[in-house]
Amino acid sequence: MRVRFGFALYTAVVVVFGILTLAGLLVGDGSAFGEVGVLLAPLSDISSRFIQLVVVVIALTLVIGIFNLLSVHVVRLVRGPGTGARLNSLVLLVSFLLALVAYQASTEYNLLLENVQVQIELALAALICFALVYGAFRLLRNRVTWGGLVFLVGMLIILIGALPLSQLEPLQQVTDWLTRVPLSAGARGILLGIALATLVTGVRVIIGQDRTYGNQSSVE
Amino acid sequence: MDLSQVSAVLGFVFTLLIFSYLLGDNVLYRLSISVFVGLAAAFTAIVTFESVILPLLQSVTEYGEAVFLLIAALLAFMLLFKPLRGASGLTNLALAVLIGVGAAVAVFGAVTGTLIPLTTSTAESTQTEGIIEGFIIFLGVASSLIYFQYTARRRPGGIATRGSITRMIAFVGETFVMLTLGAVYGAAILSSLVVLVDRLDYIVAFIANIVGGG
Repeated sequence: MRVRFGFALYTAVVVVFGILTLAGLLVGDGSAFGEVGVLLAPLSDISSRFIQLVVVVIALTLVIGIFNLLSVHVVRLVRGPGTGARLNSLVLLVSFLLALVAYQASTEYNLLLENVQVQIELALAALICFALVYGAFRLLRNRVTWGGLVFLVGMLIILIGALPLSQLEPLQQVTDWLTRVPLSAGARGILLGIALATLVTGVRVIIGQDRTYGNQSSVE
Repeated sequence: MDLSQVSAVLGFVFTLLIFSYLLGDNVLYRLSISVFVGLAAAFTAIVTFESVILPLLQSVTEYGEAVFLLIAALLAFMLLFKPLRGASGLTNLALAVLIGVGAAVAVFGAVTGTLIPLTTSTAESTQTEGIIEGFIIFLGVASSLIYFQYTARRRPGGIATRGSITRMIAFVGETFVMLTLGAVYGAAILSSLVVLVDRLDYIVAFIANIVGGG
């Protein structure tokens, strides 16, 4: 087995940062550990420093990403493949600058945020309705499976349960029970499955078994 | 035209531009998406600067804080070397720090935020919901978890299959999982339908206001 120095270094960094952060989060203020807690308390400070460091790095990379977006559109504006592409880039750059200017003008009320950004977001959210209904229709057209049938039943339970009709009151009681018991059980199963997968993957990363960095996916 | 009228016109125009996508991908839709991306980038930059970077810059009064900020800037700078083949090791080193801390936070969050509370509430469901309901909830949770298990025994023919009991429990789990996913899908349809009705109401009210001379 040949281990390159670089990979050994990356793994060591992941293990040290991971274990120190996890230990600090688990220890907290150290009060649960009695007298030993005083000795363990600095771990909490170290972990909060590490988390703060990661938050700042992510914030800086976000700003770098925005600069990259702007530079790409400036290049496209100058050497774009067509008028349409250039116009789109111009509109994007102008709206970016306008938003900054509007924010400088008034930090409390922002016309562009309230009346353009939010309105576009709402309109896009409304468009999702068509995509979802079309998706449900496609599900019916494709091959009928047990999973697909149950999926459809689950969807109909929620849709019928939302109808505000007094004639459907007995049905709504059934819907309430289904939501409270089997749907809740399925949701808990899915969430627990996600949490267990996160736990296993996280622990594998912290102990250096899973190397998703340095172009080497697993231990040789 | 006062500020409220300008606001209403802007909202109306951009809603119509986005809804024009229903007629197919077109230049008006793409222009409004460009506006959306530009504004989103600007507001993201503003929020990031105001809530993370600016407070940190203001707190740099001691040597330790300045060093901390320098390390953070250095790590962010190291991430830029990814495209350079010779210097991508620097990026990997910065990524190692992010992955190590990120994995620890994810593990802690999964255990304290999901595993412990959900396991406890499932165990207590026979008391809170009743014996039969509690049993159904336990059955649903346990079978859903078995449904997500993909380990199988390899047969002499080379085909990997799960045991008959595991398959049977996984079938029950599939029923619970698909029922839940269907319900989530239904809830998503309902939510987007509410937003759609609100937008249509907004458009109708705007036009009525114009026609009525309000």
